[in-house]
Amino acid sequence: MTTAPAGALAYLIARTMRNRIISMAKRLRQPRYAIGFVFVAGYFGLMVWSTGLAGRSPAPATPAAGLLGGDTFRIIAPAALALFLLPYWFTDSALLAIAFSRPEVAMLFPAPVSRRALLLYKIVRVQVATIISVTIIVLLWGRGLAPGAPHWMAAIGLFTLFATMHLHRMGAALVQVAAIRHGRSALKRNWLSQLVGLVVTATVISVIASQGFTAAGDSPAGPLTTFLNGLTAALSQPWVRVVLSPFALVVAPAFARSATEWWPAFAGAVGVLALHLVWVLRSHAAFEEAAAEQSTKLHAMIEQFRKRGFVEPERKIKRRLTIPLAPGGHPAVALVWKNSLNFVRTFRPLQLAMMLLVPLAAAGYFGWKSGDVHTAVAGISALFALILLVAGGTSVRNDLRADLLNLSSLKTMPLRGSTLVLAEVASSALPLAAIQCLLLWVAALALQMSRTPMPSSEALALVATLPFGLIGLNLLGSTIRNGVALVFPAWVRLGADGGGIETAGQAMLGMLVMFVAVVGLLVVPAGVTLALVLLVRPPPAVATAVGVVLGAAVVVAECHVATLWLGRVLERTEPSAVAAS
Amino acid sequence: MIVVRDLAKQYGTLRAIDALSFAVQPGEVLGLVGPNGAGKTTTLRCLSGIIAPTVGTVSLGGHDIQRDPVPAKRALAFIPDEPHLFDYLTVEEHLRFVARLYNVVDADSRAGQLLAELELSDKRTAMPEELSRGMKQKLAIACGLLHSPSVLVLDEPLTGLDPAGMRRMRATIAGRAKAGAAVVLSSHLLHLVEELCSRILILRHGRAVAYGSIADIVAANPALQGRSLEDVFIALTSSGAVSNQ
Repeated sequence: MTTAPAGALAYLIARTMRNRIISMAKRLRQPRYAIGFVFVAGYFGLMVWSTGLAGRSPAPATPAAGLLGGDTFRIIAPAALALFLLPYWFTDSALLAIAFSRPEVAMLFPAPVSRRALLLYKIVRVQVATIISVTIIVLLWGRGLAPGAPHWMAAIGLFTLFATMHLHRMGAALVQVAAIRHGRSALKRNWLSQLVGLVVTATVISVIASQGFTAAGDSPAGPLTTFLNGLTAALSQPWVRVVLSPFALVVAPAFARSATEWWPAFAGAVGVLALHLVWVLRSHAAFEEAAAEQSTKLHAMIEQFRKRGFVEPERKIKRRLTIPLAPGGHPAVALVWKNSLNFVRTFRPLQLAMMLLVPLAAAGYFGWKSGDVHTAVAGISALFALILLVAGGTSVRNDLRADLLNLSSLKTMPLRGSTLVLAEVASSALPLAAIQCLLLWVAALALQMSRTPMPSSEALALVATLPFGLIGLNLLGSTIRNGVALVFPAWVRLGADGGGIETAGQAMLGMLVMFVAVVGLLVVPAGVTLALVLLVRPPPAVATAVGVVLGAAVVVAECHVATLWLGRVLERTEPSAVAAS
Repeated sequence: MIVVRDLAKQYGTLRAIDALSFAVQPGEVLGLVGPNGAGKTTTLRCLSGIIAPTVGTVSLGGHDIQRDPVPAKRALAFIPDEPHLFDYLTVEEHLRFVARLYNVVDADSRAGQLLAELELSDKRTAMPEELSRGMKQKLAIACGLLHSPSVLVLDEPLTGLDPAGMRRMRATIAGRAKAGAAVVLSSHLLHLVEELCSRILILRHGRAVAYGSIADIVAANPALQGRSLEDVFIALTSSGAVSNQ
């Protein structure tokens, strides 16, 4: 990169950061942001004070510290990291790592800036988000990370880990883009990265599929302990450790047990980071070289690529998959219909299959070990439903978090603000509730077929009332998520993409806020339900049914009140408040 | 009809529009003109209920857009200069969505007619990303016209259209006005304003500097007699110009 473009790009990054900070500070003049800031700052202040980050005597190590510093974790973590990175190679999820914004495309792509400079700019810009994310995580987690090492070491270790993960995602995306554009020739050029990917994939899968089970043997301990022991033993084998050593190097400094241990670990992690940087920039260079050698036709394609850049990678939209909509009826249904089409058209079966792979493998394993496949299926289905209940809302974003970017259009629709909010909240809550309900019905059926079934009347009551309970809980979660996006649009990532690893800290903070809000809003329904059950003392089946339905009704009433208020907020919110974020 | 009284919008210390009052009768086309930053888009956004005025009222079809927004918006179509389309809906589905929003029972036949009129019939199953800028604009126009609005608010309606599309759009605006719609359009294309608008509102620094037919405006400024609308516009919006409202 020559000095002039480098200076311009550095200026762009620096001024963007500076102006962003100024606009964030100015935003605090608004009461809602000021109140939100006081709460968040107060919470972090408390964390700093309690964990000794500010120089007080260190607090005693937490159970999390024990877990993260434990041998089992340190052996499993590299394999977990490899598994985490795997989808980037088999799905198009990596492509967003090389996406540029519209203004960047308009200004930078036609400018005399090399692609390598553009990639470097992208890498540097992402580090700003990563630094914020790491700071939040270290503040939230405190001594859980790198127990025994100073917090700044943990922070640097975590930053190195996230930066490497992001570079890995970029590298995977570049290989994919090159393969899309150039087919076999690109695959040949990137043979090394593919070979490494294949070896790691084969190792991790073979360890989980066979070695872990056989190494553990029959154990008097529970199935989970047996599994972990087996897995640890398998991952400790020398050849597996060699294959996973780059991953071990990357995670090591973030979870070092002492300052002495941290320094060599950090050197190793920086080495892997540097290799990634070279890989990303080099794969890009190879791309340029190949482009120059190709025919005029291919050159035209490259020019088109230069114009369109890496912007908004094309996704295969399943356009034939549609849902009927009658022209007559309540207009709010149109909004739910639109968002549902968004959901079905952006749904990625391969990603879901990859997400289900581990639970299904675990169900198979535990079923095989215990000899009771039904209990295993019930447990895993219920676990997956729970995961979707807790974290599903962060990925299913076909609600205000996506639509606020179209606030101008929303505000010209002939709907009251509260109706709009309700339709948006329902758009993400209902599909999630439906998937969870199906999973829990499978779990209930499997449990009834197992050795330890529930009494049939209670099972029937639970199965019949599950949809009510799940709709209530998902509406609650969705109302909070949409409410936070609407009240604090500048603090929430808007759009269909929830962000990559560089936003992990912000996502963690969001989950914490969500958890506190859900617990707060569940106090009343839980209290009402408990009081009724204690006062009336109905039979268990009736108590189950009444409890679920009554609790859901109170939750829905809370959501109704919240949507009325949020509707007024939406009517008062101006598009500039969202665009400025 | 559209009735605007004492409309003002304040952003911090900036008065984006101030003391605007005007009315647009059914069948009338009002042209909103002014230099960049004069407050045209802010006025149109206040008319459409996208932003709330700091002071003043906007009534569409007899309904106050702030106090009674749903019936007011049912009568309205706002077509912005930059088409805002949903990424995951096809052309046809955009129209189906709008039909349900406005309860258009004969949507199929109307949609077919509009798509044919705007030359989008062969793009029914296309996604927005497959459309050119002009086609996107045409789709936004089709969405706006599907429910036969009695109030039409257009911000730079010819942006992105090809010459044939421009001609068709001019005919569409005139046709809608003839059919009884009250139309407000903002444009920098003064020949378009001259051709279509029965009255003109010239804005400068958020205030009306002239309001009425071109003849009325010229009559109020005898020095501009015999000059083109462009000359009138420049004379009234340049620094040192005095409001004659």
